[in-house]
Amino acid sequence: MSRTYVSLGLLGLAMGFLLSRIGFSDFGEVHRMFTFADLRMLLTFATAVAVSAGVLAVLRARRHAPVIPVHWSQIVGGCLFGAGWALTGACPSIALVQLGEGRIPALATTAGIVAGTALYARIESRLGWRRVEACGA
Amino acid sequence: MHTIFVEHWPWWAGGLALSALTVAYWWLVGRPLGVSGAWARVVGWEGEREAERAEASMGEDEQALMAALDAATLEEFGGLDGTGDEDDCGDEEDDEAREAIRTLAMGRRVPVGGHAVFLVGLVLGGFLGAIGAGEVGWELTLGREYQSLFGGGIAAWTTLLVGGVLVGYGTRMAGGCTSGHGLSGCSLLRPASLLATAAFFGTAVAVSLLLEGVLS
Repeated sequence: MSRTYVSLGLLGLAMGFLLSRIGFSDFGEVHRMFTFADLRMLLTFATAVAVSAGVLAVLRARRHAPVIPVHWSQIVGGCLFGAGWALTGACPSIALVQLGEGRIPALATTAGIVAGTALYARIESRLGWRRVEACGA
Repeated sequence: MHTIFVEHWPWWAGGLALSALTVAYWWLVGRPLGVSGAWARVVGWEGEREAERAEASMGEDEQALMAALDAATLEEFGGLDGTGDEDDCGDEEDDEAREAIRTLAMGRRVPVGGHAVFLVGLVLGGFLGAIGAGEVGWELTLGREYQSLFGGGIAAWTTLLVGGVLVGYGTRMAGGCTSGHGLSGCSLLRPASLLATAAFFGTAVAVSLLLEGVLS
């Protein structure tokens, strides 16, 4: 059990540092990626996916992955998230990394993410359907 | 040292490091990396406790389910190793189905506290990044580009808050974010994740181009 906590702590630390050094937590860099003014981070992401895909294929990780049926909520939710990402420059990890970097406006983004997450949890319980979790939760 | 700590990494270095992280997370935690899922677990802490209690009481049912499943598999396919070992050399498709059901049956495996530790790690990692770059200190803005698009006053803060709500709500509805769908899911070539990634990336591009055209 404690091994899980230590692993998760170190992974979080590594990821935070990495995202900061890549420039993912820099609004200007993210904005230039989305407007195709600078392809560096787009290439970074593509490389990450391509290399991971190769390694996970060799490890046959797919067998142990959660099965996720295609559902319209992935498109609608994805579009809402995309709009929020463009406006804030933050995906769920980035708001926290920005806080660590001392960027005070990230407090507003973080508050929004907490509110949005809680809001969805409330609404979903009334919808009568559940989407399947892609993340490692 | 300067190139590692001060300048942003070149695409190949960042890409390799990110993929190492994706694989390391899987290796160490046994689940795909996903940050919005961690958020959801931490934000829903209270409901979580109830769910964990319910899960604990379901433990026996789950064992019975797995046993029944193994027995059925054995019956249908004969000489398969009934222990359900991961390195089983049996029929791969059958293995896949059994593993999938096992994953669903086991449900959430990472404790909430673990997700909280991970999120705190992200903050500290960002702090380390800032130290390395020699940028320690509070900043009241997200940078020059943000300033030129949204200004610095109440409008900028409101945009961040509303945008944050969209991020939180949207990632939960989609069941994942840049890490869960984008990195982990796309690496598995999972259709649902490819779809979600296309949706959020496409929308972000459209909105960013729109902002660029309208606001600057």
